[in-house]
Amino acid sequence: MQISLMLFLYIYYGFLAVYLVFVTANLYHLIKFGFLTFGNVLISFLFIAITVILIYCSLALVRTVDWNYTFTIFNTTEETNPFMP
Amino acid sequence: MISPKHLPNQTSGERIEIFIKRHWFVFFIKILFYFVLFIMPLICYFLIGDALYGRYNSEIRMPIVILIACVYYLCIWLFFTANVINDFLDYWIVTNKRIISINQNGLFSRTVNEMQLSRVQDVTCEVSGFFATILHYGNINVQSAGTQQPSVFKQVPRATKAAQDILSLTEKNKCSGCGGCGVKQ
Repeated sequence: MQISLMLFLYIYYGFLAVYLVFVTANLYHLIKFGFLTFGNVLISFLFIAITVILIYCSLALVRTVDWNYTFTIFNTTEETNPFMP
Repeated sequence: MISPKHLPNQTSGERIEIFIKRHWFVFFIKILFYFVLFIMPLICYFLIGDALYGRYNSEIRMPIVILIACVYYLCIWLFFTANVINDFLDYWIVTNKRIISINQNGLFSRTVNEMQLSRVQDVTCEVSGFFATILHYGNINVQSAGTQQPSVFKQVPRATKAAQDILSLTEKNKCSGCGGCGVKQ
C-alpha cells in the first residue's frame, strides 16, 4: 500500500485551521474584554505578531520538504501472501 | 475594549475607587514554565542532535519530525496565550457603590458578578505560601448578606491593604446612606 507524505501535510493543514480558530477566539477575548490601556493594546499587538511569525516559520520549514515522496507499507508479495492460490 | 472611564451599568456619581488585577508574579511563573517547555527540545537538539541526525535524516522521518516540531511549538504558544489571557482578563473593580468581579473561566466562559457595597457583610484576606508571603499577594473573600456567592479576589497584590480599603469603602457607603453615624466616641 502506497502512502504519500502529502497525507501528513493535509493533516497538518487541518491542524492549522483548527489552530487559527482558537487563535481567533483568544484575540476576540483580548479585544472585547480587555481594558483600553496601552499595556493591553501592546499585548494584543505582540500576540498577533508572534502568532503570525510562528505560523510563517512553520510554513517556511514545511516548504523545504518534498511532500510528493511516497512510501510503501504492508508490502506483501505472492510468496508471503497466504491467501494467493 | 472596555474603557476604564465607562463601566457597564454605571450609575451617576459612581467612580472607581480600587482597580485590581492579579499579581505580576502569577504571570511570571506561567511565562517561566512555558519558556522551559519551549527551550527543552532546543537543548535536546544541541546536546544529542548530531547523534540523532543520521538516524532521522531520511525522506520519511525528517518531514514527520519537522511536522511534529511545528505542531509542538504552535501548541505551546496557543496553550501559553490561553492560560495567560485566562488570568489577564480577571479584574476586580470596587467603586463607591458596588463591587464588580470579572472572571475569565477558560476560553469560552466568562463570569461577571456585581455586589452592592451596602450588602457587604464580611471581608476576609488570605495570604498563604512562600512567594505570596514574600511578595504580599493573596486572596480576598467578600461575603454579602443573603445567599449570593462570595466574591473572591484571586492572587491580588497587597491583599491585606486592599481588604482594609474595601472595608473602609463599605463603612463609608453605609454612613453616607444613613446620613452619618452620629455615634459618640
